[in-house]
Amino acid sequence: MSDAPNVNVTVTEKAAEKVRHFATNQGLGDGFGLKVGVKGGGCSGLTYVLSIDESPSPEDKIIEDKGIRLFIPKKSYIYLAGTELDFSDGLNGKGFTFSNPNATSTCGCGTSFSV
Amino acid sequence: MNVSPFVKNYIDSSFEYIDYSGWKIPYIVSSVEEEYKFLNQATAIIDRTHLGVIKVFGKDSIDLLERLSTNKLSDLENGSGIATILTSPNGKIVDLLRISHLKDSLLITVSSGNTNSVLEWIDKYTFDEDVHFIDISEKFSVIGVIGPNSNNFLEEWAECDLKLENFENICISKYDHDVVIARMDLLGSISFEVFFPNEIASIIYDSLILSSDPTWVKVIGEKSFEIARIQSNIPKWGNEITNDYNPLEANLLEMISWTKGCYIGQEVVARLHNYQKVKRYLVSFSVPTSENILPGDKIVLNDQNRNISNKLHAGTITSAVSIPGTEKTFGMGYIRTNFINNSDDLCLLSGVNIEVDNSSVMDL
Repeated sequence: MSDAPNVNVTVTEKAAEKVRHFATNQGLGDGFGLKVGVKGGGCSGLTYVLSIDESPSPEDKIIEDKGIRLFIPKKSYIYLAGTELDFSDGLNGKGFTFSNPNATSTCGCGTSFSV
Repeated sequence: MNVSPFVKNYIDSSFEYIDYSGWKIPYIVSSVEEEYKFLNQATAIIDRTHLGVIKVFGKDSIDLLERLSTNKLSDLENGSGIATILTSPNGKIVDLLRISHLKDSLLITVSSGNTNSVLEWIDKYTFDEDVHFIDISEKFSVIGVIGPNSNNFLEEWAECDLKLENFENICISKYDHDVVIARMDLLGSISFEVFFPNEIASIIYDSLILSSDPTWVKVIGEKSFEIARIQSNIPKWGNEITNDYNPLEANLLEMISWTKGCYIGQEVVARLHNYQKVKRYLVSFSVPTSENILPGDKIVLNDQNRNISNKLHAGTITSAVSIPGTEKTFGMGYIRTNFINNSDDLCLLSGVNIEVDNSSVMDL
């Protein structure tokens, strides 16, 4: 049996915990979700966009992982399929980080990528 | 081939033409000597309808283009403008954009024959932004008004004050249509581009040319413009500006902001600049010969101890134009950085020395 590629976008426990923390701070109820998208820019061509939204947009693909709903715009999804979102904290932490199998290169600071 | 609505007014079967990205462009209208004189001493008018013209609407227009190109656009406001370069993730040139901020939109000119590539490139990086690009190249004519008297000439024609800095623009109403006049110092000296709908091209021609003193204004062809462009070391799409070169190599430093932050290709461009890793530079030169020099021809180090086949490859010619009646050709080319300081010892494969214009050489 061959391993099918993971086409979902996933979050680690640490990232999920951080998202819940931010949502609570913003006073959002149960319907919130983490909007994960990309936009043109950054050194390598595409850069990640994150926001906590009260509800999805009509065109968003909705994925649930670790109790967090992810709202992913359709055009962004093709660049994000298989991506794992993590969170690294501490003095040297980078905040939210993306492990994206579609990225063929990333810029030095890791916030943008090309495919 | 297309003939622009402006050119249709003075087209003549005796002209020599060139094909400029599908446009039939007069190469010489009267004589090169006379046209060159008007460029440098009075006012010369040249058709530039072959350029791609794009209108951009939407509140995210500037933000998107700022993320995709090298210059700082966030300070643009109505009437201002800027030149910026779309670069790929590896820092190579996609195209050079000249942006005029109009009241409710941006007017962008791109290189001839490159409009679709630019629009596809931008679309690839457009996601949820409120931005709409409309190719208006087929509906608008563009002319260049060039020369030391171009400002006075256009002020009189437009019946308004034209105290514009480079890239600034003004939109006037002329013959019941909007006409945009943008200061674009195309050849390094004062000049303008005028944008107008095709339907008033004939009236514009009549009022600009037929009603003017012929001792002060003349329509010119592409050859005299090309000579002045090469002498001024201004790169052109397809020759000096291609996907093979980066903006530093093409001497486009003025179109790069070093403080605005990330854009596509920024990391590579900044690294090349900061660590002085630019491998070649664009220079202009002259050659005391009327031999046929072509883009792609090699420039080599004139080392007497080596035969032709072994001479060190120092660079490549990208543009060349001969001056009629003289034994002189002007050219541009990319010279490898380690040969820039030997520019007195460079020659063509035929052995004829080239004289590099030192004012075109970057300070290293």
